[in-house]
Amino acid sequence: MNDEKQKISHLLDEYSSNNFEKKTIDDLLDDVNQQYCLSRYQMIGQAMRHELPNKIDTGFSPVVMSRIRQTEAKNKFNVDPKKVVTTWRWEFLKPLAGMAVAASVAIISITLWQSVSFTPGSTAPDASFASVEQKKIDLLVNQPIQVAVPASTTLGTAKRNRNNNGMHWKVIRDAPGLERKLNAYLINHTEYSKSMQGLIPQARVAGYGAEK
Amino acid sequence: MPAMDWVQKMSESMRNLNYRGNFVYMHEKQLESMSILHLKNEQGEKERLLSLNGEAREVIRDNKNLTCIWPSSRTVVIDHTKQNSFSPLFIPDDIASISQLYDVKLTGKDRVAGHESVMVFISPKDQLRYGIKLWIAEESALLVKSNLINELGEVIEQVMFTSLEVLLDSHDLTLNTIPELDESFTMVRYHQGEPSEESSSDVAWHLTDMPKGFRLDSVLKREVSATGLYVHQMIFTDGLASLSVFVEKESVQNHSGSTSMGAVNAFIRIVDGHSIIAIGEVPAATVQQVAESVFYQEPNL
Repeated sequence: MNDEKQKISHLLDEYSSNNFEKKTIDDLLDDVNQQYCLSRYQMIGQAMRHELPNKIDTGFSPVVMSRIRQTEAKNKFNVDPKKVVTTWRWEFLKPLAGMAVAASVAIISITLWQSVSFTPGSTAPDASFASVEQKKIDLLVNQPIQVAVPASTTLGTAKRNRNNNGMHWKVIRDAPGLERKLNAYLINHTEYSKSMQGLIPQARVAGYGAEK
Repeated sequence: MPAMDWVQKMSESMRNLNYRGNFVYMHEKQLESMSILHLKNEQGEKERLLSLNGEAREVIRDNKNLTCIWPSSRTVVIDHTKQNSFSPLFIPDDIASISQLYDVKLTGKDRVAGHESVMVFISPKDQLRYGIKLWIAEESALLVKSNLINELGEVIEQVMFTSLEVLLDSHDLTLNTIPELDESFTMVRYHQGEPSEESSSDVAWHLTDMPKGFRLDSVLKREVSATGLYVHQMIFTDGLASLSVFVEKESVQNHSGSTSMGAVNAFIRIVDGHSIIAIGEVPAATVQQVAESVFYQEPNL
């Protein structure tokens, strides 16, 4: 677990309304990666309070897409960011860094990139940056549909698992950002290339992050 | 039947038949157990890949969407899919070019997961690509085992079915998810639409030294949601193997050099403030050769 995730875990462990460490909170608000990490921990906590039901029949994608549209419509108006934040069930959040995150990151990374319209004649890669404040607003307003968050959640687990010979990139120590980047690249490569290697590329994706 | 015909038939069977099975995926001294269900009907293809170890990670793919489910975190991720099958489509047009780069031959018969199979060995004629050995069920032409073999002749990754059943009557079959998708799940969608494709004449990044047999297959341009930075992806293929080159404004903090994960190699290089990352299921020397030959040139000059 890296320092940032340790702070978040510690924060969640020790949380009461009076003992938040202000600097950690400030850091959190300035870093969408950490916010996403925190929200993942929250979801893990929520998962601990649910029993998995028996399998169901589903016309899968239409159901999910329909629900997304409904939720989007619901969130479109009168969203109070403060209210969204305060509905987080902090007391249930535990530092289960990466329990579910490692496995998910690779495929989450598939969706890392937003599409853009290509303008004929454009040359070098452009660069544009959304303001930090705008990112905060976007993140809050879009709860619980988490739009445009970075695929950053593999960091802690990758480091933890490396000693276990898990399936991870052999990257320079303390370069989690690089590993994250490579994950995203691998998934996009797998999705868009035409390797004739049977099921191996897909198994590689599904198996990423699994421990030995 | 010639070896290449078996490969062609396998490609078609993997897409057109209904089947389900369990397989193991071996890599770097690790073993993963997974199950697959593939359905094909008049609406198209649907597939589910389910991890049987640890968390029941589930990936469902249909004609339009790629859906990933993580029960323990109550998360569902949906995105558009580029390919409409986990199984690659073998393009007959590639056969001529492939035979210049690979020897393709039948090497015998074997029995895998109860299926009598023919063995096809696709071995590269140089060390710029991996070899692959395929076990193809004689009756169904489904792939029951495959080995990926490196330039030293070592098996570096393997998929092997332990059970595989062809489903003759699929009318009552539906693709189920393991957990019920109730309100406790968080739906995650990162973007709408698909990456835009660029025509080759607009591409500003080029290669001076393309590995023999590889050609540019497609070019994509995307925006990274978190940073607003644009990324260019150039995909190269020799008909069987492929690699991608990603170019983006410097974002990997000056890291450069090579790295790997299983059979996948990557080589990172910084050029004029841009990260050049070549990545693919090819030997390290191949991605390095590609990465080191990338250069920038104004388009249409």
